[in-house]
Amino acid sequence: MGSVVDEERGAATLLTLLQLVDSAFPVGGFSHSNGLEASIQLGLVPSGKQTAPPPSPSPPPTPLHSFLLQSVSNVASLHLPFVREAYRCGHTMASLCVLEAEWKACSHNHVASRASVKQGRGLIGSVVAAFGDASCSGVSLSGLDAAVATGQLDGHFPILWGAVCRALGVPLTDTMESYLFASSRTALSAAVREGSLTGPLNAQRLQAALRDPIRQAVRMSEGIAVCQAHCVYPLVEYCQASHDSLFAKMFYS
Amino acid sequence: MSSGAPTEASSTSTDASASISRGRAVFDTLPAPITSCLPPPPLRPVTATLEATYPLRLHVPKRAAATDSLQHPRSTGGDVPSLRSACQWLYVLNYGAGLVAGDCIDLQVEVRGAASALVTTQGYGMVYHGRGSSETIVPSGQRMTCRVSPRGFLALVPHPIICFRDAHFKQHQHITVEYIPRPADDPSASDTRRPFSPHECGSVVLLDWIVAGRVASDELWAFFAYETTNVIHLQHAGAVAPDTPTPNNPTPLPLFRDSVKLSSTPTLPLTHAMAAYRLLAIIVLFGPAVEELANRLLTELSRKRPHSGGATVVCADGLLVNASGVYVEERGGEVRLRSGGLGGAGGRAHGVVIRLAASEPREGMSEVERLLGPLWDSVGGNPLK
Repeated sequence: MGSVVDEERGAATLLTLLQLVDSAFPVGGFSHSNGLEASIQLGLVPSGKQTAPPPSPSPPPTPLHSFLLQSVSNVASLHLPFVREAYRCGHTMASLCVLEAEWKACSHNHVASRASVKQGRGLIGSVVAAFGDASCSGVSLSGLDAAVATGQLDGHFPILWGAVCRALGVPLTDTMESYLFASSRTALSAAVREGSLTGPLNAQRLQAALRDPIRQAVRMSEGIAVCQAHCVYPLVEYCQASHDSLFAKMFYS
Repeated sequence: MSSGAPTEASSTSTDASASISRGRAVFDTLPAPITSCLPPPPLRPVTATLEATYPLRLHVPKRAAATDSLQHPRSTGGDVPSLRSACQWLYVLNYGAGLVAGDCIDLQVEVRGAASALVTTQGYGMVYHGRGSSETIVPSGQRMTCRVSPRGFLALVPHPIICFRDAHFKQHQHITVEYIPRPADDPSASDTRRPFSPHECGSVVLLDWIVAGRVASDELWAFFAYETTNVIHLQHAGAVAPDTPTPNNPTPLPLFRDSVKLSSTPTLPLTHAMAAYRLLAIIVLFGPAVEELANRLLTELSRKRPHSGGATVVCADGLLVNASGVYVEERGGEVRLRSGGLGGAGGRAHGVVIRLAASEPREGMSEVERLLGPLWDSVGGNPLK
C-alpha cells in the first residue's frame, strides 16, 4: 500500500514541479537572458547560427553551448548552495533572512541581483495565486509572501525557490535540478528570440545536451557550503554586469 | 614613529620550501591633544607595530609616511579621498619574490584610531609551479585578516598575482569595517528606512587581480588552480562609545563576498573560457573617505558605451569594465545591504564594486591605475608604479 501512496505523492509533486517550471508560469523569466544578451553584444558569444553540439562534446564546443556550460557551472557553484540551504533552513523566517543577507553580499553583480529579485517576487506572487497557502513543511507560502510584502525579505530567487519547493513538498534533488533547468531554459529561450544564434529546434537539442551537465553540476554542488559559494567562469558574470551599458537591448538582464 | 624592525626568526621547518609565515601589523594614531580649537588639528602621528616570521617580511618605509598628502578631513575638493592622518604604506615582502608550493602567508592588519594604511607589494605576486604531477600539486596560500576602526582607512593595493604553469594558489582576504551609529536621540535616527549614515565609519579599498600567466612566454591560464575569496563585513563597533545604543543586530552585516575558482576542465579549458582576456581585476571601494570617488566611478562606468558587437571575441578596446553600486540602508539600528546600478536604491552609493577584464595586461593595469588615480593623491603616491 505504501508504494501506492508514495507513487501518488510522487505524481502529485511531479505535477507541481511541471507547473513551477512551465514557461507559462508567470515568474517573469521571459524577460531575462541570464547574461546571454550582454555576452553576445560584448563578443564573448560570437553571433551566427551554430549547429548542435556533437553527441559527445569535445572541446571546443560551439560558443552558445560553451556559454550554457559556463552558466550552468556558475549557477551550480554560486546559487545552488543557497537554494539547498534555503530548502533545508526554510523552517524559520529568521534563518531565511540571515541566508538572504549572505546571498546579497555574494550577489554584488547588480544586474544579476535585480533579475533575482524580479523573478523571486514573480515566483512568490504566482505560487500563492496558484497553490494558496500550501505548506508541507517549513515556512508557509503565505508567510513567505508576507515577508516579501513587508520587506523582511527582499525576495531573491534562489532563496525563495528553495523555500517554495520545500513548502510544496518537492524533493531536494528535483528542486536543484529544476533550478538549473529553469536557468538554462531562460537563457536558451532568450537565444531563440534574440535570433542570431539558434533556432528553436537546435535550442531544444542544446537543452537536451545539458541534462548530464546539469545532473553532474547538482552532484558537484552538494559539497559546496554557503560560505564556499563561488564563481568558476567569471567572464560570463563580468559580461552580465555590463548589461546596463549596452546601447540597445531586448532583455532586463 | 616606532616602526619595529621585522623579526627574522629562523624557520623551524626542515623543508625550506614549505612553511607558514605569520605576520601582524597594527597602525594607530596617538590620542589627539586636548585643544579648544574646532575642528581639531588634522595631523596626528601614526604608529606602526610590525611582527613577522621568516620568510615573510613587513616593511613600512618612512618615505611614504612623510608625504605631503596630509590634508584636513573634508577640506579636499573633488573626489580625492580625505584621510584623517598621513597614510602609511606596508610592504609585504617574501624572500624569493614569490610563493613556492606549500608556502603559506598568514597576515593580520589592524587599523586603529584614525590611522590610514595602505598594504602593497613590490612587484607581481608570483606563484611558482606546484611539485609533481597534477595529483600531487601542493597549494600555496595567502590569508589576510584585516580590521578597520570607525575612523580608520585601509587600502589593499597589491600588484597582480601571476600563477606559473601547474601552480595552485589559494587566497582568502577578510576585512571587517567598524562603524559607530548615530545616537538614538539624534532626530535623523528614526525608525523609518533610510540610507545608512553612521556617526563614524571606516573606509576600505580592495584590489584583487590576476594576470593569465607569463604572457611573454605564451603561458596563458596554464596554472592548476587559482582560488581567491574576498569578504567584507560591516560591524557595529559596540564597545567604542558607551552611550551608543545597543544594536539590534550585533552580528556583522555581510557587505561583499566574492569568490572565484579558476581551473581548466576537460570540456572547458580556461584558455577557451577566458576568450582573449588575460587580466581579471575586482576593485571595491567602501566608506566615507572614498564615497566621492566611488560615486564618480559608478557614474563614469555606468555610461552606455558602444561595443564591437560580436565581430571579435573582445570588445573594441579589449577592455571590459563595469561597476555596481553598494548601498546600505538602516532602520531602527538594523543595517541592510542593497545592490544596484547607478541611482539604485534611490540615492548616493556607499561604495562601488568594479570588475575589469583586459586582453592586454598592461592596458588593464593602466586602466586600474587611472580609475584609482584620485586615491594616489591622498595616500602619498601610486604604489603600482
